[in-house]
Amino acid sequence: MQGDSRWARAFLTAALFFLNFLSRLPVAEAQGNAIDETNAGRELRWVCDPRNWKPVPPAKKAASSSRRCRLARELTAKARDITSEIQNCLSGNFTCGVSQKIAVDQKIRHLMDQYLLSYFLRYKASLSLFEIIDRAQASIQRSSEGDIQAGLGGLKEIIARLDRRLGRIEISARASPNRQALTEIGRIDEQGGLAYHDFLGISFLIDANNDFIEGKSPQDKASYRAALAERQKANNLARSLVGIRARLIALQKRWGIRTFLPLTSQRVDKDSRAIEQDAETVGALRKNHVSHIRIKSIHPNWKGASPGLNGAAALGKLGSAPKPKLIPSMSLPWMTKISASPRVPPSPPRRRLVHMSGPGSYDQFPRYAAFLHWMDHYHFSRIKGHPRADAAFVHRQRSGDCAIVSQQEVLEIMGQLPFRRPWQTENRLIREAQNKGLAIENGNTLPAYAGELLTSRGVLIAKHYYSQETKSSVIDSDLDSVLKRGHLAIVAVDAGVLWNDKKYLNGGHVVLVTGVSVLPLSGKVMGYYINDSGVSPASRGRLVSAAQFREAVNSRVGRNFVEVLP
Amino acid sequence: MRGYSLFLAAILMAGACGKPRAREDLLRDVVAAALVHPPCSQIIPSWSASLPVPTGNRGGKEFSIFFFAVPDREGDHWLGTPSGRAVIELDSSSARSCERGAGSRPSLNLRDRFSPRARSLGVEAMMGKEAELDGVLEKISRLYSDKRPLTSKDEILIKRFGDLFSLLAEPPFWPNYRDLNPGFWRWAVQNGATLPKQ
Repeated sequence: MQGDSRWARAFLTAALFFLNFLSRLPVAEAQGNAIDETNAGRELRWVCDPRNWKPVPPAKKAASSSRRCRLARELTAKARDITSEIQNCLSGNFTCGVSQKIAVDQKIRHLMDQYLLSYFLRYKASLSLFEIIDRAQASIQRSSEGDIQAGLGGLKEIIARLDRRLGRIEISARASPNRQALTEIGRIDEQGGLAYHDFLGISFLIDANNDFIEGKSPQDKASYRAALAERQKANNLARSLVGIRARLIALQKRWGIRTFLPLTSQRVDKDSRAIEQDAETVGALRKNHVSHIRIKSIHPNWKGASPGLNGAAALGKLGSAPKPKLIPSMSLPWMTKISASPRVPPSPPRRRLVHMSGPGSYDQFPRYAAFLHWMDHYHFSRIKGHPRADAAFVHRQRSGDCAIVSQQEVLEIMGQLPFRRPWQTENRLIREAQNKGLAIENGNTLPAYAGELLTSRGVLIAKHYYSQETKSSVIDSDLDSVLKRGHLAIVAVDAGVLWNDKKYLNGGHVVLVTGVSVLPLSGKVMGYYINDSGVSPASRGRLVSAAQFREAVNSRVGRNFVEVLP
Repeated sequence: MRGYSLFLAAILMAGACGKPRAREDLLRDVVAAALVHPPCSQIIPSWSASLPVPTGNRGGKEFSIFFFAVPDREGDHWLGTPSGRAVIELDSSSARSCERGAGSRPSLNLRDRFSPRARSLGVEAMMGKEAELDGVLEKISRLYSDKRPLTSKDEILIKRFGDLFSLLAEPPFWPNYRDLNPGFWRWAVQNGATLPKQ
């Protein structure tokens, strides 16, 4: 406990030092230490007068300098606000909790992103603030992981008990559902919801902080093994949650209460609107899981429970706090998976697949691609997944937001977003990703936060990153095993290789892989079905030969993918 | 019969204990891993990474790269200016440092990305040349770091590097390549590499 307090004090002191440094920046310039900024080969020199925040003449680029001076003024004001917050925290005999620390961290990072990204990065090495923040968050992460594991253990016990009870009860077709069993199901759902939200927080923290796990420097090889192991742990937690959710759905089906559940896309829309609004008002860019797991406003039954980082405490409270209704209204994202009929395109029901094979196409080996189609057509090969149904969900992306469009496809396939006006939905998702700090301009997604739009809507994912030591054959076999299980995968590829066009070589691109074509006896993968939003017209269920696709995956910009858990 | 088995066992042992062959695609995998791990994964989106340039540090295992945007939508014909850079190391999956500039503006034409000689190559051939360049670069980087007198074989290697680099590097970005480590380019030209005029 003492150790935590020492960390927190060090964190706040460093934050003060850092903000002090920030507020001095423009003053230093005014004293004549002009800052050179290399901007696409051009050098801009700018100097601000701290009395009126105007550029000191003669400024070479007047417009640019005045804009920067205005930014410097805003920055100084905000830095002062945060400084006073931290000082209040320190003067109150150190009563700042985890949430306050994270809020301060969010604000600092927001400042960093908004104003001085290049300066912060330049001075990052000399400042230990970031390291301290990240270590503090890593310690939070470790404690919440224990919470979630305890929660999952409790859930498994409850499910086993309910299973045993159900085994003893003879269920007739007309029998009304047992009240006690329904209460149990409600408890499982609520605790599952808490575990799910805890998982979201942990997963996000792992992605944001895995270079500082256990205080190791990012250059340390072992720390990366630890980081990968952490990611693997999060993937396993996601799989456990998916298993529990599936079991719960089965129990509900057995009791015949599935039809009563108000699980519609409208509810999901409402949730996501609340999340979006929250992100905008708080101004949280990264690590805003604390804001978006505040579910009090979303669900009335959750009053009193405070899920999130204190998952175990919340689980403890649940025994006495809200009693579930007879028919629990489960509208949390973690349960929205059970949509009416996933994988069935609502409108139009079927579209002709555009295979794009043959000479002059995107295939490196057009004849071989044609052969693969022939194999599929005459059922010499087996298709894993549902590429024909899923093909209807792709549309051509508007800008460089391929990762966002791929996630949109998954959400539409899963029934989490309505399949109407895809470009409008795309714009909304881009805005949401930018507000949350998951993407930059044009919707270009940052690799650390791939798949976050899915998890915020109840779709659980497993992220697969690889170190430089991993051989490409291992990555191929991992991807194949995911796809052979019928899961969807959002895969990073080299656009130039995938489109067989050298102009786009080494260009980072993301596609949704909807299925694989395998040989029936050996199980060898012959080709991959992809939904590619980057080509015109958007390729619906294009069958790419295994060699070409693997080459695109094992490129400078590939070697990672997100598995969508069912 | 026993002697024959011993002979076979000896061959197998020799095969198993031999020095593992260096992977030619290691440099490519290092760049890929650095992009999906912090700090790069938190600030650099799915932009294209340049060819690595040796820094001469850490026994020739350290390289610098820069990032620029390539359209991920077919039919777009712009090319982004370099807007981020990173230092990567062969022994680590992460970048030692990573920074992003003001944003990759689409100011260049994608058709001018490669030299006329490279435009005549197919994708497969380009990939092959790139893999070869990665292999040569690792060796060159060690030579540059060691600062020892070069043999005639080394000079052939440097010349080969110059040819491959001139073929594969994007002409609009040659000044950016030079800025990554001007000392390395001086050393390469002094030792026989024919590099494009910058």
